[in-house]
Parts: sequence; C-alpha cells; structure tokens
Amino acid sequence: MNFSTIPGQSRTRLLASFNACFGLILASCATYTACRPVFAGDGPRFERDIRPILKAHCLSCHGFESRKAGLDLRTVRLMLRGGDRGPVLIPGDAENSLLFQQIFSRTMPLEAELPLTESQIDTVRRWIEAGAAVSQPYEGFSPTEARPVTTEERAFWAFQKLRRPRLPGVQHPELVGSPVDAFVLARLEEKGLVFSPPAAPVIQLRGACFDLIGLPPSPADVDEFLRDTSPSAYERLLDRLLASPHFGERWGRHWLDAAGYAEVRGTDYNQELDRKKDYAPGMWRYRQYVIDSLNEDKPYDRFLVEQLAGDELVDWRLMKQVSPEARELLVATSYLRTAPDLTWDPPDNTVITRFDVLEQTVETVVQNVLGLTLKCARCHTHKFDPIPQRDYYRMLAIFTPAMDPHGWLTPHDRDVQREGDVVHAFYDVGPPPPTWFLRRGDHAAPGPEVEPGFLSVLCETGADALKVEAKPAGDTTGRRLALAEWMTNADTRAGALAARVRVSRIWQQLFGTGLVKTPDNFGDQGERPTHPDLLEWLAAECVSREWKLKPLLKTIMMSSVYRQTSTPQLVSESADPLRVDPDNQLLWRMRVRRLSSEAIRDAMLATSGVLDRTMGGPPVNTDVLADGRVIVPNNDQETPTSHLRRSVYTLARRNFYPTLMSVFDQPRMVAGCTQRERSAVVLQSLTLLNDEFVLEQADSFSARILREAGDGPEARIERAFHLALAREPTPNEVRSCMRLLRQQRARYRKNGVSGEDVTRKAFACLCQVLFNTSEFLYVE
Amino acid sequence: MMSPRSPFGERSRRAGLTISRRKMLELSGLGLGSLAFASLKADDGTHSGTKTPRGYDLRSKAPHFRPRAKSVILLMQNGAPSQMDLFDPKPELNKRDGQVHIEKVESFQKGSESNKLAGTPFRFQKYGQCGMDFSDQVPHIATMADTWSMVRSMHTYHNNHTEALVIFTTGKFLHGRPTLGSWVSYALGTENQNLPAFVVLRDPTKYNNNGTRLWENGWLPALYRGTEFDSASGRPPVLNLQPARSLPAGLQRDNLALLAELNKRYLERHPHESELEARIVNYELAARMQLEAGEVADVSRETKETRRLYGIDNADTASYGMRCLLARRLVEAGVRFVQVLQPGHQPWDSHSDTKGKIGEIARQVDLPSAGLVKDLKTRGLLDETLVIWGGEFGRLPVSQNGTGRDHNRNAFTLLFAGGGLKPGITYGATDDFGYRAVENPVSISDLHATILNQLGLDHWELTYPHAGRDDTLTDPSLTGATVVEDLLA
Repeated sequence: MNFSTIPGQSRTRLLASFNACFGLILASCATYTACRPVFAGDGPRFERDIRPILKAHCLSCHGFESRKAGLDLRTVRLMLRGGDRGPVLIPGDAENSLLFQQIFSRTMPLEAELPLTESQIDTVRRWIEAGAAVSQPYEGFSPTEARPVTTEERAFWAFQKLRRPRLPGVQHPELVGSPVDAFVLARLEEKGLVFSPPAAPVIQLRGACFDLIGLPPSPADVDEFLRDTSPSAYERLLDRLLASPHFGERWGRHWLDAAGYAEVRGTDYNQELDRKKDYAPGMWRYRQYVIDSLNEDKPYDRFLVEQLAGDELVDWRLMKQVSPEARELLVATSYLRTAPDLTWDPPDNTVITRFDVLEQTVETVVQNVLGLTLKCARCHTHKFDPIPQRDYYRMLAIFTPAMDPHGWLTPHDRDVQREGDVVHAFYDVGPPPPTWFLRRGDHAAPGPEVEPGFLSVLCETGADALKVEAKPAGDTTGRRLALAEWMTNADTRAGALAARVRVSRIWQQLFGTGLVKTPDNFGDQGERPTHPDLLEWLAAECVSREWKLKPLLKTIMMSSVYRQTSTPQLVSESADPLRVDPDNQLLWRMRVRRLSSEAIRDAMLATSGVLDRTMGGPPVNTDVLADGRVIVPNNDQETPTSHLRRSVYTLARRNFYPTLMSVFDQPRMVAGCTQRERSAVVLQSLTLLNDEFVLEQADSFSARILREAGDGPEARIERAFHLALAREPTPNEVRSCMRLLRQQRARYRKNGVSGEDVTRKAFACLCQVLFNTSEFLYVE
Repeated sequence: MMSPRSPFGERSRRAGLTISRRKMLELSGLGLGSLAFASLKADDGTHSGTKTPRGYDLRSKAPHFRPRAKSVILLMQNGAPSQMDLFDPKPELNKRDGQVHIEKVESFQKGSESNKLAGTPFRFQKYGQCGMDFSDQVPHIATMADTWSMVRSMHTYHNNHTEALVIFTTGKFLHGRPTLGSWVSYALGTENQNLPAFVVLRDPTKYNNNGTRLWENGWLPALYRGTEFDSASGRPPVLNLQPARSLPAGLQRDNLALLAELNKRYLERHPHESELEARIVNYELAARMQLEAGEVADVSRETKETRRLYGIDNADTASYGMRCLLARRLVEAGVRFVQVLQPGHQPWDSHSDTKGKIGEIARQVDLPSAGLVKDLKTRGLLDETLVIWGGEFGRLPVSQNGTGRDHNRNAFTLLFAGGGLKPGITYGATDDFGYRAVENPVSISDLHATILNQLGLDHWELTYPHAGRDDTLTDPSLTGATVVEDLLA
C-alpha cells in the first residue's frame, strides 16, 4: 500500500463517497425524524417478537458482520433510514415495505441462511401493519444512561480546575532545597518530624543515574563527581544526565508501559511467535519516536497531540512522497495501535473482537492520560464516578472514523507501507460512520446514535462536552485532534486532570509510589493524594514549564526530600519517625527502591563493561528455549554484539520477555501498565544464581577487573566494588571477599584448573555475588 | 543548605542521637530469622489496621482452630465448564429442546438471541452408592462419585472470563487484590521450608486467561505470591533451578555465605524493609530448593500403575496428568497450596460445538483429575487435602449459534474432594433448566469462607492491614460471606 492511498479506495473515490454519504445522512435525517417509531399497542413488539427473527435470519449480513446493500436492520430507526434502495419499512403498510416484500417473496434470506417460517413472516406483517411498534424508546436515553453531571460531582478534587497553591511556611526553612520540600516538610513538621540527613554523595549519584538514565555511574563518573566540591556539583550532574541520550531509553520505557507497547499484533499466548502474521514489523519506529521525543524534551501536550492525532496535523494523503516530518507524525499514532488485535485471523474477525480492539484502545487512552476507569461505563453508567454510559459512546465516536467495527480494516490492511517500510498508523478511513449507544455494552442492542463528545464531568456544561471542534489538516474528521487539544488545554478540567496524572506518575518513578497511589484511578475508588497541595503545585508547575519533563524532574531531584538518606536516623528536635510513621508515608526518609527489570540487566552489562550502547532500530531477537526459558541469543542478531544492547531494545512480546526480565516483573503487555509489580520471589534468586546470562556477565566482569585493576587482590576487590556498587569496600568486606577468593581458588585448583584461570574464575564468583546483592539491585 | 542550626549537624550526630547499633539489631531482628518489619509492626500497633499481621515469613503457623485440611489443590478449569452437560442433568431442558425459553436469559456474546432451549447432547447416569449424576463425558471422574462433594448452586457476579476469574481467585473483580493461595500461604506458612508455600502448575506451552494475575500476592507481602513450577517433561521444574554450567561442588555454598553477609549488612542499614528481608529468606530457600525441588519433580520412580492412573502414558492426558501428579507430590512434600491450570487458554469456553469442544477438553482432564483423587485417597492424603475442581462460571441452557452455549454467571457446578467435606453429597440446585441457582445458592465469597474454614481459619479473623483497614479475603460485612455448614462432614 502506498502512503498516498487509503486501503481499498482510491483517493477520488473516497472523496466522492464521503460527500455522497454525508449528503445522504443529512438528507435522510429529515426523513426519519418525521417517521419516529411508535410505542405501545398490543400487537407484536419489535424487541420481543421481531428482533429475534431478524437476528436469527438477517442480521449477520445486515447489521453485524456486514451491511450488505448498505442496510442495517438492528433497530427500527435504522430500517426507517434504509439502505441503498431507500427505507425498507413503512409503518402501517406491510405490502409496500421492502422488508416484508423481500421475506414474503422468499428473496431473502439467501439460500445459505435459515428460511423464515410462515408464522414468522406473518408476525412481521402484523407488526408492520400495526405501526411497527417498539416497546423501548430507542430514540432516547433512559434517565440513568445519560444522567447529567452535577456541580457537586464536578467539585470532586480530581475534576477541579488547576490552582497554584502557595508554598506553606515551615519551621526549618534551611531544609528547603526546592519548592517541593516546603510541602513535604510542612506535613512532617505537623507530626514533629523532619527530613533525614542527606544521603552520602555517591548514593545520591547512583540514585540519580539509575533514575534518569537507568544505568549505573562508571568509576570515572564517581571520581568526577566526588572531586567536584563546588555547591553546584549535584546540579551539574543532573544537567549532564538529563542531556544524555540514555535519558529517553529510561523515561521512554515508562511511557511504553503505559501505552501497552508490544511488537506483536495479537494476544501472544503461544510461545512460538508467528513472524509472518503476528509480528508488527514497523512498531519499533514508535518505540524510537517515544525515546527521541523524551530526549528532545518534547512538551507533553505536543507529545500527546501527535500520538492521538498526528495523522490530522499534516495532509499526508495528498503527498506524493511523504515527508520525514509527516512520517514521524504517522508513526506517533502507533500509540493507538497497541491493543491486541486478532482480526488478522479470519475466524476472529468478528464484530465483537473488533469492538474489543476499539474499546481497549479508547479505554487505554483515558486510563493513561486521565487516570479514569472508563471501562466500567461500557455496560452501565459508572457506579462510582460521574461518567454516564452515554459519555462512553461519545468517546468511542471520536475514534470510529478510524476504527469502525462495522467497516473494519484488519491490522495488515490498516498499515501504511512504502518501499518495504511499514508504519502502523491510525487514521480516519472514510466519512464518519454512525456510532451507536450500546445497551449493556452489547453491539447487538444498539440504542440511539451518539455524536462525538468528551466526558461531561470534565466540561463546564453538558453542551460543552459536544464541542468536538478542531481544524485538522487534510480530509479527516479532526475529532481526535479536538480530543487531544481538549485533554492538553490546562484551562479545562481535563487538562488539569491530565497534568495531575502526569506529575503523580513522575513522582511515582522517583519515589516508588505516586502522590496518588492508584496511578490509573484518580476517581472515587482511587486513593486520595497523600500531598494534595504538592500535587496541585507540581501540576501547575508542569503547565507553566510548557509541559516539559526535564525541568520538572530537576525541580524534584534538587529537593531535600529526594536527596535524603534512606537509613533511619534519630535526629534531635524530631519525634521517633519509626513510631510516628513506620510506613514512611510522609517521606521522612528516602524510600529504598528495587531496580526495574531493564535496569538490572543493563546494570550487569554496564558493570561488566560489555554494554553495546547502539540506539534505535529493529528489535533484538529473543528465543524461547526447550526448557521454557526465554533468552536473548548471541547468534541470529544484526551484529555480533546486538545481544548486549540495552533491554528496551529486546523484542517486545506481550507474554514472553527474557526470563531474567520477567522474573523481575517485566509487565505482561495485555493492556497498558501504569505501575509495575515489585515482587521478591524465589525465582529471582534462582535466576541470579544460575542463569547463563548472569554467569557470562560475571565472567566478563571478572576479566574486566583483572584487566583494569592492579595485581593485588585488594586492589581488584576495590575495583569490583567501585564498578558494581560505586563505593569502597569496608575492611570487613575486604576480609570476607579475600576469604571467598581463597576458598574458590582452592576449589578450582582441586578441580584441575590452573594458571590465570584460577584467579579469573575465583573473581567471577565474587562478581556474581556482587550482582546478587540487595545493594546492587536497589537504589536508596 | 545545611545551616549550623540544622537538626542534622555533625554535633548532634556525634552526640549519639542516631539510632544505636543495638536498637538497629533489635529492629532488624537478625539472627532470629524473624522479619524486622514484623517485629516493628507487631510491637507498637502503629500500622494502618488494628490487628497484628500473622507474620511475614513462610514458617508453619497454627490456624485459628482445629483444621480439617492442611493443604489445598485447586484444579482450575478456565473457560467455564457446562453444568448441564457434565454434572447437572435437566430432563425438562432436554424435553423442551428447541423451544423458546419462557425466561429471557442474560447472555454475554451474540448468538443466543432466539432464546431457544438446547438439551444436552450427552447421556447422564447415576454413579456410586450416593447416586451422583455425571454425563458420559467424565466417566473417570464419575467413578469417584462417593468421594466427591458436588455443589450445583454456585453463582458469581460477572459474565466475562477475565473478571470472573479474578473474582474466583480474589473475591472481587478489582485488580490488585491477593489471591486465595496467597492468603492461605500468609495464614499458615508452609510445612516444608525447602519448597515455596504456594506453587502454580500451568500449561507449559500456553498462558491461561489473566496470566500471572491469578496467583499474585496483591497487597500481601511479596513472599506469598505463587511460584510457577514447570511441568513439561524433560524440563527442570523451576526455571534456572540448577546452574547453567556445572560448577565445582560447594562453590555456590561459599558464594551464598558471602552474599548473606553482605545482604544482612545492607538490611541493617534499612531495617523493616520487608522486601530486603524476603530477599535474604529467598536465597536460603533457593539453596534448599535446588536440593529438593528437583527431587519432588522427579516422577521417574513412580510406579507404572501410578503413571497409568494419571494418564502419563497417553498423549491426550500426559500433560495435564503430569501436573496432577506433581500436585500430589507437592502436597505430599508439605506444600500448602497448589494451583493447577487447565490445558490451554480457556478450553471450556464452548460458544459453539458443545459436543466437540467439551469432548476434546474432557478427554484431557477427566482421567487425570480422577486419578489424582484416587491416588490421594489411597495414600491417606485426602484426609488432609482439599481438592477443588471447577471454573469461573457456568453456561446457559439456551443455544448459542445452534450448537454452543454462552456464559452464565447465575449457576455453575463445583466439585470438591477430601478436606473434611461430606463425601457423596450433592448440594444446592438450579431451576429446571440449569439457568439459575435456586436452592442453597453459594457465592464465591461463601466458597472462600468455607475453604478457609476447612483449613482452620476464621474468614472474619484472617486479616491484613491495607489502606487503613484490616482487609480480608471475603469482606464478609459487604458480601455476606458465610461458611456453608451443610457441606461439612
């Protein structure tokens, strides 16, 4: 497929059909408002008597899987609208109703289908004659389905507009290193607590490195940092790290988690990957787009607009040759292509599966950006949050022009290809199709048609929710662009919520838990913020810094609360924090945090000195072995050292990440993940003790020490500690390490190993022990 | 930033205002093997709930009262086995096959709109002294009729697999809650310190619906999460159980000694971090597991009869049979909770072709399920083991797409064996069509309350502090969970 064409239709045909359909819809509106369905009456009823007949005999061709002859028979309203041959129903006049003519003459259903019985045909006739009555008002919503949102509901903390709280006064202003501190300290002081002392400089260094680039500091970094005794040394460190190209690899991963990023199309339940059908060959470009965007500190509002509506920012359809900029914008929309989509497999290409893909796509966006559980409103008005069920379908209508379950493109057909390049883009396919409200979330029970709209609780009035207006480039509805602009307009409630969600998750990456502890639920059932004013201040700060991430990170990381030690210490003037706040909810000390799965693997590679820092490109292959382990093989890769690249580049399957990573809570990507599990299970210990990768890295690490450090074992032990833990060993530790080296040397000699190998292997033992220490796996 | 007035000044630190080493050791509880976190929380009652947690380790703990079972084997049948085609014969339904049902049933997917009743394509018969009903699809399970307790009146509250499975394992459909196995491990620890307390045996070739979510620890401490064992033949039971290369004897022991020293020193600096303590415990467990897990998974010395009992010698049943056999070996070795997953993703989900689909999956699980119960009984293990067999909900009495059945949250059947439940009892009943549990309905929370009860645990009392309250598995004040006394022997 060419960039300049749309699947299945030439450009001109599309335009023509767009105009034709639009005209038709406008024209027919008048018709069917004039012939509203009637209710009541004794005779046959649509729901009870007619719909079952149509469902069993007609709807698979005219309503569910397809709309043959442009006809949809799911509701009376749709029959009145009719198909290619006009309305098929004339209430009160069976003989002139096409519906009746077709079934009476046995023209329909076609032979393959079950024929209607005489009595069924008669039921249809009597129903039409009696006025085609419906018992349920399909034209309208029930009071609960579309219940208005009240002023009180909009006053819920998360739905309010942004305000910028003043910094609270504190008793210890000397402890305030960043405005952030004032908020945290004020809460501590209320309980008679203060911050813990700052952590040792190397601990601050190590924490900042892992937090910003996901890699440990090198001994040279440590030296440089410790040598620099000026007060601004730490700030300059942050600046260096924020400017590193590895920053995007680390912070991009958080976004990829939330987006549900995978390089496979389907659900990926089978360990063997079907490379032809299930692998999404161009998805890595989106991974790269995310990493690049974070590295250039693209403002979050722009970042979102591109991902939700990049295709509407530029008229790419008319381009003969798609410009690099336009391509980048199309790549950004792969964000909307991450939901598992099984419809490439014909038996799975059913309307219900298509709705699954569409619904998950929309739900993931709302959950990720607004922190709301929209999913509940699919089948009923949300039980806890003010989200009427109607709002769910209004949101769906924003996406149906691109993803219409009744006019579906399989994932392969949706891809945009040129000269072998594949972009998994998301774009409006044709004129906007009608979107129906679905009763109980059932696509077989459509209610009234809905207009595209936003969540009314995040709008000032019900009418505002329908102002889905934008100026898109090219022939596209602009609905997604309008959504993106709404969600990133900090003056709206939606923009305020998006900013809160954003800063709470940033806090979460640095402190282990967010200011709101339920990162994907900011609604009634979610937790309330632990520091509401701080959250509000950070959100306002985020907006005033043009939605940029890096300045915000710096503001937080310059704070005393971030830089304090995680070792509890009693300080004078302070109550005993272990008694007052044993869970450290108020942050009187820094939290100890385990490294992520990627950081653990990357840290081993970096420590052993073999990390291949190549960025970008197609994924590094993984293999599933006969014993069930998933590994990154060293053969069958692009270059001889590709298997030593950073973990973010390994093939992103949904269920089969390398074992080393999955035991350390690499999320299964069935949907977006905004908070990873942090388990400590025995499989982690076994993996770090026995896994081939860890043993290999210990060997490389050992070789590096022997290569780089002097001859004496003390110097080598020191070097090993420097590399792995960024610190000197204590005299006790040196003694213990020496003992281990003696034991293992003797053991290897007894096993017939000789010469330099004895030392190398003994040191590999020490290196592996260091990889296994809590100190290696955690930052303080 | 640091002024002379600072509470962290060098002066105050020298004056001995930091925590003393003695205090630190006391807090971390080293040398006693107890968790620092536990001792701290237990001491002062400042944790968010009002009750003291039972512990943070895997040591065997006394239940609240005399238990009827020591361990649990949960044989999950994801996808929802059809009650009226397996366990709950409905003559009226068969008689009215093809007629439109008088009650409009609640369906989930499309295809059931005609609301036409569909009789079972299978033949039912009564088995055993007790005369329990089974269809011809589960002939081996049927031979154990006098051993099973059958509950026909199960019901749940969600009609989709994903949510209903989370309800089945955690009591509610919200994510992030602890699963039944985690609660039991937390409550009772394990009898064998060389193996995990909670072991999961899933189909080695395919993930089940919900994946690892069905054995997560939620907000219970990390130690209580289910540990996956691999049951594929020719594979080690646990990934990376043995070193990838052969290492000289004793090498790892010395490595672990140094590791323990370094990790304990790190823990001293961070007392009451339950995760860091779990990590130390896990290395000890890992070392012991290397010795015992291989042995417990080594079925080579099982007799030919035993292998036949589980269907290990037959291609259809070998894979599931191996998981059932391992389950027995694990509870025999003292593992507290074994969760066995069905073959494939959710094989019982027969939306079409009831006859073919049920036949296919029943062929794989019928014989091994029966074999497990028979074997446990022969070995006297059924007296202290509770076996549970079943899925997340049931199926509709009406036809879907002519040959299948859609989801039904309103009624399904579960089987139990051992664990102090009445053998041979058929409890509860559905309406004439098997659509709705009408007599003695049992909710998932009732089920959980009953399972805990058999383990000697009071479901009101088994709590863990979470989000400011003492949270429970059953949340009885909300769900009304009650132990099903009528089932107890």
